[in-house]
Amino acid sequence: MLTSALAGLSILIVGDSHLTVPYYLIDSLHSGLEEQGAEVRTFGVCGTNPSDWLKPTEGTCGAAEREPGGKVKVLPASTSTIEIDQMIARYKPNLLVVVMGDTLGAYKEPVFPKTWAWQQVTGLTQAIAKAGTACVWIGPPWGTEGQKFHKTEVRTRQVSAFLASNVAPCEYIDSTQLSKPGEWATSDGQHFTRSGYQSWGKALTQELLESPTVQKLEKK
Amino acid sequence: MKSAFAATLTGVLSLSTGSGLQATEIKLYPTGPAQDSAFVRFVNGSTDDTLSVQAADSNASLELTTSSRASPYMPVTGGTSIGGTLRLGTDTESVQVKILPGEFVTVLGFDSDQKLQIREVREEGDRFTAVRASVAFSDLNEDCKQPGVQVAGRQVFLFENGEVGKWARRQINPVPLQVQLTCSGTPTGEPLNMGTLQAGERYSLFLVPGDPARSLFFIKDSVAN
Repeated sequence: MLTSALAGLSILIVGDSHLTVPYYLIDSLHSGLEEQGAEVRTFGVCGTNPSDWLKPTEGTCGAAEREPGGKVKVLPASTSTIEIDQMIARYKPNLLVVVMGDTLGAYKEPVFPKTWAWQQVTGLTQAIAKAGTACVWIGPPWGTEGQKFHKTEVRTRQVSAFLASNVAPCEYIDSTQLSKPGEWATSDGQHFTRSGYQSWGKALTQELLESPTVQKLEKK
Repeated sequence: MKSAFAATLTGVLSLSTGSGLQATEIKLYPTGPAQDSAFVRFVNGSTDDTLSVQAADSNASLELTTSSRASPYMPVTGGTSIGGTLRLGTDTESVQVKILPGEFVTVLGFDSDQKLQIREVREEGDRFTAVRASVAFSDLNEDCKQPGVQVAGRQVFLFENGEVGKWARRQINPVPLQVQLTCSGTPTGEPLNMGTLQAGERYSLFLVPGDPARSLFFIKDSVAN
């Protein structure tokens, strides 16, 4: 009998707005991983940067969580993040999945602030490395050009390339490789419609199934 | 407001709904700062004396010895100026530095003809990587012509034809590294052991004024929390 590489793994997913509405990745990715036999916890706080997960920081635009086997719980917009090392210590996940990228894009600014982004990303990856937890970082997908958040293809490509070479020791999943630009419809240029999140979550579940980090965990 | 993840610790439950009927419009939020981060550090380039740094507008001070030469990079608001006084031996000099967004600025104090001299090295943040080590070479020495940095014991140049006042940075595999300074192609001074380079870490090699054979040192860059 074939067994999923994800079966029996304890997975903690943390991240930004893409986890904070009931039909976002907190539905499709969380459920997709559970269907593969993983025990999954998800906690998202909208608008958060990586460094916001080093000390409790209040969100401003929404939050949600979902416990293993549970339903999505939408939390007040002022919900605080929890330090990543505390979450790892409490839940002892085999795998940490970070969903963050759009909050680093500075989409309204003419220049990508890579020094700031480096400072942000390095702070969180160092904390994760210190905890010794296997991790995967999911980068930003294509959006719709312009609109409310001013997200563009050019900047998305830049942010993704930056993350690809800076999230180690986490493995990087490049979401821009999972669809064509504009293939998944957005509601505001940055967040997908229900069908977009279904597609993204399904593609990410497949990526995690084939992830070298997960394969390595399976062998342990 | 704490989340229910925290609530499992505190016993406080948060709002709960699984209906999927919430508003789907995410409120607009910033996706990054209006300007890039900026950093400044102080480095003692003297071979003999301790460099003291006193901030102009506070009691903050630093003592940088010849064995602990560098402060961490300290975050500052890009575009602002910082001022202070440097002291080396009995000599003092005031300094005023403007740090632009995205810059890593090193303020280096050293002795030349028994006088404190100050140089600024301005590096634009770039070539960040977490999978390789990153090494920079700053040439501030006019006595070493066509300075180069080789892997010690091998004819492999990491940096070639340095120019006074200029710096270069490159990515290197995270391996044990000893480097050899060359001036006009001739090995100068003893090999410098940089230890085992670590992926994601950044290093700076400085060739400061003075006898080139004694003027190359390195710093493992760090950022203050």
